[in-house]
Amino acid sequence: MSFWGANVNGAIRGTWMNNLLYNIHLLAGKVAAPGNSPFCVTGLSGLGSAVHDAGASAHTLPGGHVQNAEDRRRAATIWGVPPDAISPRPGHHALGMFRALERGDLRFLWIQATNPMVSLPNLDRYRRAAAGPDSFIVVSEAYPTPTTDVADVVLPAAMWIEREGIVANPERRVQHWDRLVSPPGEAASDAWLMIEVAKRLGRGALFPWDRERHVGQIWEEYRRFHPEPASAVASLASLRAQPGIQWPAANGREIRWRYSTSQDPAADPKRGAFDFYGHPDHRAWIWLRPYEPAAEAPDHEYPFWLGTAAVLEQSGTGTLTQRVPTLHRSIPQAYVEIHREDARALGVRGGERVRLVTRRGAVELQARIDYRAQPPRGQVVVPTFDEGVLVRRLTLDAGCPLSGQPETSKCAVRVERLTPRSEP
Amino acid sequence: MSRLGPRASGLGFSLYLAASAAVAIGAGVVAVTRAEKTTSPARAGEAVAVLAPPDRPIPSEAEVFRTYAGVLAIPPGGARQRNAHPRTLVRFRFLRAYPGAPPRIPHGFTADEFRTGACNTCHKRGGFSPRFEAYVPVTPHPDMPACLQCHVGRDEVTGVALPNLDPSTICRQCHAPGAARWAEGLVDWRPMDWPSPSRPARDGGAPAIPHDLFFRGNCLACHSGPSAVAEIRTTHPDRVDCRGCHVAPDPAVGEFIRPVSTMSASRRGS
Repeated sequence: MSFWGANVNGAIRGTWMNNLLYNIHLLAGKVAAPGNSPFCVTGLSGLGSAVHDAGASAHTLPGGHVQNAEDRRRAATIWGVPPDAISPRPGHHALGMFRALERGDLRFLWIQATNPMVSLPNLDRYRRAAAGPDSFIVVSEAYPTPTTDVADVVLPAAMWIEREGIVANPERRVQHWDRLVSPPGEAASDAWLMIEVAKRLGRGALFPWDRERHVGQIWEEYRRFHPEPASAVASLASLRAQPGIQWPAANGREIRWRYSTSQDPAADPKRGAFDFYGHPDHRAWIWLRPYEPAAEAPDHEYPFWLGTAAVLEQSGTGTLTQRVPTLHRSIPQAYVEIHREDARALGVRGGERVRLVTRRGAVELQARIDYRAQPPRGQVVVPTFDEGVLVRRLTLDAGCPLSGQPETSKCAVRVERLTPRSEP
Repeated sequence: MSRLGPRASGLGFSLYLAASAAVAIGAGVVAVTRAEKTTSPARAGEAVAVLAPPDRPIPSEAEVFRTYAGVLAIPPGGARQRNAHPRTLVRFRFLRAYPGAPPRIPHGFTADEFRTGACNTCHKRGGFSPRFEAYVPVTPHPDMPACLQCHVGRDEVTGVALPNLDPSTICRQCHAPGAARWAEGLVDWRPMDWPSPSRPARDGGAPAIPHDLFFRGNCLACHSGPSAVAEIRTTHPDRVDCRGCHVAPDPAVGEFIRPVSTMSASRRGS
């Protein structure tokens, strides 16, 4: 097994990195069999389902892409709209939306279930863009955040146990949960907030669902995009009956190893043990990828690598977890972790405040020495969760041209001591 | 009650077969570790092969104290340990003047030991001490060589008896700028209550760490191995990265309050 996380993907050629990791498994034959798999462990379960297959990205449709005429036709049929209502031009990727906002090409933004005014790289640039006078920003949230600070309208989003929901995690396991408590006031699910707006725009007929059952009803519509066994989706009834079902689930049976002819009914046994039917030649493809240097490397002026990291106690930007007292007390603020030898050379003591400076900005925070991440010499590491520090003001927004994901994992930084010291 | 097997000798580091795999320590407290659950019934009175001391710490006590034949040489917390030095919470507290205090040294030392202060010979890595007939408690901070500066001997002897080191160097292991602990920013000792086990947030969850970690950063030193206090011994030392699940809340920190934004990003004045 290979496991890797967000910092492999968040690189100047993150897509190539993934290609190369898959290459190792394909060349060694360690794939699509028990105990053999490349496995990208990235955080949020909602991302897997919404972005990868359900069509939440601006270039995708459920089970397809907007550039593909057949995919557009199928979506238009299921949704009951004219085929030309779906543009064949992909929209912006996540960071691209904020660049379009900066250019003025995009004037309206509706932000749900994320906190970009903490998480975006080169944050000052996009905070300025979001605070511009010509944009109109709607944010669905449950708590005040730096993102609601720039909103024109804040809509009350129900949190996860306040509504029904379905997610898929990185091992393709789809899970359903029921509402456990009622949301306060007028709070509603993110989907229902959109439906209410659609009704007011005169498009209510396209969303013929009721508030109590809309999650399951949307799911059953989504299932119609996947009639074939290669990508069949479990029914709502079976998701309710089991704690989780791996996708694809053909005829009620989950496919644990795709492309294995002994497991996957979509794979043709005549082709041997494996049938990579996703490719026209039914073979696995090996991608030859060259080395690409980082977008920015340390030099005499900015001599350290800056790494950003997650910490156990805080998820994402901490909107939920910082409000859990035990977790907040465990790590009340972000810090910069410095190798012991680097700290000695800089004359920095643990616990004192230092300033980190990159070409994009500066933040001040507490130094910790040999603490949690234990970075090697030459690298300093800062957790990203803390809106009191906003370390993403320092990081790069250059990114992978294939995935659109920015290189948030590394850039060049300088560490400055704040307190003058006279003792030895 | 357990009987002890005959003594095996050799290599200066001997492991003994305990007569019983069941472990009852102190006042009826039963500690069952994962290792013990897998132990086959011990063969009373039979000496087993002697293991060489490990040349580096091995995280799983089940492996450390298993013979090559696959039989547990001594169940952690076995009879011999109990007889010599009962390692229970009662004893643990008895050795400390107040909650959080450094424990007193419950044994005497030779003049030579006092002169060299070589506590780490035994206490850095642990193991069985034939001299005290007991497993040696492991220090969580072996990097601090002036043990007697904080740990008081049985005969009230204390001091900085390290002739090879400049006393000013020793004091500064904690207290001076540039010194190791100071540099780590961890000199934040403060009084505490006796920690009591915390309740996990949900059934099966990892309970939070109920004490601060100043000088106590190495969890396995106190919570695993045969010298660990029975009541607080972990069932899963093999997971090694304790703080991957157990968080350490600081009771002095209040609840989250949004920081005042350092930027004037809000154009709406909200």
